[in-house]
Amino acid sequence: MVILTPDQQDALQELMNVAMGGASDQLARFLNTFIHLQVPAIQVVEASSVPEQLARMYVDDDTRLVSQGFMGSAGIQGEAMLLYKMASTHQLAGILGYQQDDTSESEMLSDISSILTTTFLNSLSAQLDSSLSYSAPRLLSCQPSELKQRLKELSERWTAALQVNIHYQVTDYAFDCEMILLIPGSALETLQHQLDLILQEF
Amino acid sequence: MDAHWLALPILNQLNSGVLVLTTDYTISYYNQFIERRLGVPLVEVRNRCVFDVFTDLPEAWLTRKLDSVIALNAPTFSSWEQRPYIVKLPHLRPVSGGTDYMMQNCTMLPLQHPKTKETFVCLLIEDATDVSIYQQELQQNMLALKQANRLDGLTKVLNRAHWEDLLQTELLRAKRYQQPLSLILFDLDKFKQLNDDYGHLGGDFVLIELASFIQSLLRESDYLGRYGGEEFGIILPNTALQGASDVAERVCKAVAEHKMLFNQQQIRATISLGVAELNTHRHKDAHDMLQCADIALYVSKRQGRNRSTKYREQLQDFVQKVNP
Repeated sequence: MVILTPDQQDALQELMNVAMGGASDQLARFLNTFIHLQVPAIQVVEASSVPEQLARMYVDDDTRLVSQGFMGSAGIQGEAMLLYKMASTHQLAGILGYQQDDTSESEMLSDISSILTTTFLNSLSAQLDSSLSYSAPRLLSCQPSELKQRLKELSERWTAALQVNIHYQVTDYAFDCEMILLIPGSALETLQHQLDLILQEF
Repeated sequence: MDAHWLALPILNQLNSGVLVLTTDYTISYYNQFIERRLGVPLVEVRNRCVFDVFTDLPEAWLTRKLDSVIALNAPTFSSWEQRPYIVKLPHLRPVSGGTDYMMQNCTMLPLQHPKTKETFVCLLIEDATDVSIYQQELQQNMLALKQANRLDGLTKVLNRAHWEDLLQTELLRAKRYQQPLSLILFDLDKFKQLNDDYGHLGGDFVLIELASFIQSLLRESDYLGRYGGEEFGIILPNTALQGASDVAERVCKAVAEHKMLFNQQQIRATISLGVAELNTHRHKDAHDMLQCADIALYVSKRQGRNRSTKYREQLQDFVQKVNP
């Protein structure tokens, strides 16, 4: 398990904050509304510890899991997972202009996920002078009882996980979603290297 | 090597559709993949609004998608599983296809002209028809398997394993919501005699015929299952003892009057039934309830068959007296 130094951790948090700022700015323009955004809580954790923790948080809720892969030129790659509690997601669908009947739930979630991950990751990769390609988002079928198993399968392929908690407040609506970026060891080393380069410039 | 010359021939031979739109939805380009299937040369429709050329596009939906690509400068996706196709095109499996139009996965990408900096949206359209056909076949097979797994091969009513699972589920549900739940066990009278008189085919025929006849007498919410040999069970959710007993009496009478014709021979059969209601204090699980219904069934048999018996505590003594 790669451990980030305190300096690397700070630099990463800064990158993430800027990325989140960029993403929310884009979203606000797109939605034509004002978006309050809390500083995202970010931590690098071992991927193997993610399933247990999230399954606990989401066990009682009507939960959906969407996965989208990404790959960049600078060796950055991984899989973004988004966890939604459906109760709050229907509100976001309304804001995004979806009618209940003209889109299926899976399409709506794929769209929201794509918007959240690509705006955030584009903004992040721009800071690293890179660009990313994305796979199509996929809604993973998960009954509440299967959620933990699903998360476990996903996390087994990756070593590190960057856990980002996103909380959007859009005028009268609040919307919570957990975004987890699962990153393999080699990509994390690349990321560390880039963080060091950024740190050297200061 | 200068690779620029590759772009055009590859674009044209690519086995995916490439459709490029301007920010005000006019067609800027499409490749041969689309041109051939659409049957309209690009020169005829270039600079025309995409919604005028492809008249059955989901306009509101696509506009929202395109706007998000432009505003967020980020790709967006569409899958055939959610929306079978965006641009209505034929597919190349007209005989074995099974669907009318090409199933499509689509990626919508933002593009920027290197010189003018003008923004375009590129729709990459992949043919997912084959995948969708396999998926459909798979789902059909899964469904068939699932049903086969739940039904009794001979009588096509629920098999024992699935029926017992249902009983356990209904029992827990009844306890949680404090609703009544009843159970009927019944057994074909003198089945051995039937087999001797009409052969095993005749016996099987009676089992099949009675199972479907009794099924037709029940409500949709009742579950009929084959418990073993010539023994069957009925789960009656949200039904108290008297209601279940009425059903049992009705079924018993109807079966006795039901004439069956096997090889030009008329067969009549009777059944014996035992009825039990869930006792939330005494019945921990499905097994406890089954035992009560079985005792009542046993009493019906001892008292001369072709009748139904409601379970009550005293029956335990009756059974012990007969089998000390």
